[in-house]
Amino acid sequence: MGVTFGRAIENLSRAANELFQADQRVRSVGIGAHGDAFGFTAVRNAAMILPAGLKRIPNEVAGIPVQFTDAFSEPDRLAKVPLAAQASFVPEQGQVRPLRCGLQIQNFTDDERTGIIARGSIIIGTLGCFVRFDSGAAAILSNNHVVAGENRGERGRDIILQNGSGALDPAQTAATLADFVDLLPSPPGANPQSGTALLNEVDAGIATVNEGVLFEPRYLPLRNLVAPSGTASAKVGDRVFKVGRTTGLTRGVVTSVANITGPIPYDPGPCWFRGVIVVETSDGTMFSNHGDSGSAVVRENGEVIGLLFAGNGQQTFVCPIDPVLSGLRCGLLTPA
Amino acid sequence: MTADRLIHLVHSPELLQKVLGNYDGPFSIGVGQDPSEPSCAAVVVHLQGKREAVNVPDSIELAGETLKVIKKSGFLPPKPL
Repeated sequence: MGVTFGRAIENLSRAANELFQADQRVRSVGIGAHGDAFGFTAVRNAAMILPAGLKRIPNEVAGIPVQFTDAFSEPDRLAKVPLAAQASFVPEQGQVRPLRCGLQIQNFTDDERTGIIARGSIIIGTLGCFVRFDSGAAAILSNNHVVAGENRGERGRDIILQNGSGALDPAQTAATLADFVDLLPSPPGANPQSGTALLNEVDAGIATVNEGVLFEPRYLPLRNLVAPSGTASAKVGDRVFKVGRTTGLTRGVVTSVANITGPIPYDPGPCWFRGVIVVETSDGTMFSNHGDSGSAVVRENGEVIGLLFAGNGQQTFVCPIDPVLSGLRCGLLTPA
Repeated sequence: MTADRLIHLVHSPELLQKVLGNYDGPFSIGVGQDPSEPSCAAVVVHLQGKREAVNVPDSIELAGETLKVIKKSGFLPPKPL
């Protein structure tokens, strides 16, 4: 039997946490109609291959019924989302203060500039972690293509919202684009083995946290994760995690380092990268998906190894943290 | 060869030519683990098709050492997330 909408809303965060943890196929958790009342609705990719020995999948959370809807593919183009309320709920997709690692963010100015908002969508990504300039100012760290519009961004002007909107909401204003490392495209058909490709080291950008906006350089408390507390060079075999706005908390393994990878399609043109870290999961599930760009990839001991920036459904590609920080002339901001 | 040493060699034009040859599709090539000898580093290359993977050598000679090449086909072109 269903419950009141108010009771469902009160327990939505708990339901999202339990259902995503219990069934790796779940891609979306929300509130839907159950008879004349309400309950939880979870959409899952039933085509996903899972290892044997899964945990019991709950059919109720806090006494509220759960109804599963099976899809047979992964959601597509999640980075571009309709302005209408979304059906899925990963806690990091909500509007959260103080700001924390892993939250959904949007370059509102660039979305206006490109006309995306006028066409009914916004482009979102993930707040990776926090950094500090030599001046002492604090900033959020993410990808160029998340906070700087793939080189279109205007330093000192572009407005970053958390969580994101089709209208400029002062309550969501979180940061201002400060700097980014330019993406360098290669001519079509160029490749590294012929020496004709330009090799990028990072896809990275930072936005200064606006005065009066509170932040905590940690993950949401419900994640119960170690905070980013240092940096390290990735090693093959490293067990890592990330928190992103689309797939939430996921865990994986570094399967190779120092990759030359490409070509990756960006608006300025196809880009090749070097020094790339490849992360995969050991059970065939997805480590990342559209919208997770910008997530910090972290060892279990809290050392950040890089920023997630691209993927193909099987491998996730991460740019190493050292050239990110040196390229932006900043240092990781850790909890006091 | 150790992983640290191979990391410095994996971007060399010589290695790229020896491993990739005339392949001109999307790829990712880096340093990983030799599954048959986990303590040894190997070149790991992801390529699009099985036919392209067949043309990639199983090992190459570089800097006086034999390097194993781990080939993985079915590589899907990456996209910014």
